Amino acid sequence: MKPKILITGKNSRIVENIADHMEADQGYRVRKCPADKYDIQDEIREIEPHIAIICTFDEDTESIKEYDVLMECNHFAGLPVIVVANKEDVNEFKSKTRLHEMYFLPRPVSIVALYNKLFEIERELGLDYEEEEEEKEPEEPEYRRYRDDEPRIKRKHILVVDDEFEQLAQMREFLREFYDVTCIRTGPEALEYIENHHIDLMLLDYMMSKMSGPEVLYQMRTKRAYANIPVIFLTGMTDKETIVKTLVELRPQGYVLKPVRKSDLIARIIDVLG
Amino acid sequence: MEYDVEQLKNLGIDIQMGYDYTGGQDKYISALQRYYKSSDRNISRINEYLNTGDTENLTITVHSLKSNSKMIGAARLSSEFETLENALRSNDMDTVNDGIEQTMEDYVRLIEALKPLGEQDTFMAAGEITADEAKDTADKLFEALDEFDDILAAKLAARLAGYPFRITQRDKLREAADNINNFMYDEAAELIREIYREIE
Repeated sequence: MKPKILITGKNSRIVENIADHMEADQGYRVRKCPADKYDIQDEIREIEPHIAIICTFDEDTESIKEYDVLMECNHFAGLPVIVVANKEDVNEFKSKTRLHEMYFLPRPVSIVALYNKLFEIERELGLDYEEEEEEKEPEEPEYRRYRDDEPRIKRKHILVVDDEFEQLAQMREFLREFYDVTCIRTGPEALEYIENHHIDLMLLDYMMSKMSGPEVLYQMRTKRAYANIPVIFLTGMTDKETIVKTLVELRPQGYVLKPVRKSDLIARIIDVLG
Repeated sequence: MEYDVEQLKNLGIDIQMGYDYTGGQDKYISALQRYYKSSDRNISRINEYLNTGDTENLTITVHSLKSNSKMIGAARLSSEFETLENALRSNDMDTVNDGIEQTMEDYVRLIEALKPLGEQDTFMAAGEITADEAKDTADKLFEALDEFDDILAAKLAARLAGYPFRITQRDKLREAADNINNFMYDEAAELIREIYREIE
């Protein structure tokens, strides 16, 4: 499946040309919008694009800052942005913008150069499905066939990370009826685990000694591969100010106060996973 | 297993609160066992951190005990740990020093009451197995530990106990099983490696 592309910029003629070409020729899912902060914001929230293209024209400081709203996409991981700009305007753009993952293509933009850049970004994002392949079930490691008493139903996989084994065991007790659950005691092990395993949600203890919950979440949000894994904090902290500050900065999907009742926990998980 | 949880009411434990948090009587019993099993480690850590003046780690330990105590219905004890936690966060060492002794006495009293429950042996071996089966089981156990799969690892550890190990190895296997129950995968793997060498 092709990634979703948002195209914007003051050079509306180029925006139209590129959008038409990409949709018709390459089958991209494209959305165009005016170079206005609020229009861009609406599109981000509606389609959650994978890549943005800005077609610049006669930009000034104010107009360049309009594009900063693209930072809202994908939380900490940032949205890759292709900027079509004159060579002499590149430094000006870089100095005025807060965007950090940008790829510059010179005007007049060659459609071949644009597609090459898109393919490069798609490969990096893991979105480069050249052919429509049937998605194969990953081969089960041999040792797991030993689990012959486990039902073979596809369930959501929740990773619980807490340095207290009592809490891990309790979460396992609550969740195993509805979800596949893996329990891990440290942040570094959790980060190692998600590198090689798919999870649908992480329940993450806020206060841990080796690596705190916020540190784990920060690491995740800065790596594109796991930036979008939903995270719910488990916290015994009653300091609402600290909790809210972390929520605003790191944007987990919420938090629950320990000790938590099973019904409250399941309800919160359903809110996030459906 | 026979244990009358009602006796905990004499210590001010709110059994119903414990049932509410853990999900029923059986699960409450399991939670009590876990609470007991962590007590040696918690007490030793608290003493260490007090002696070394490590208030950061002391706060983390006390913070965990606050939640875990509440989970089993020990609301008053939870509140004592919360007082200590708040005092540590605001560096109020006078309140910490005034309160820590009484809190620890109350904690130890609860642990003593849980002792008959906590010391029940839950590690049971499956049927007898040969050396080849033991090696094969141990190999699968390593894989399960690598995958952080504690449920499968626990089953394989129980199966491995069917091999006629000497006492020292048997104790190591029991310790590895405890580590698995505590989600300590690396520590369990290390012990299994030591045991593996003894399989003939």
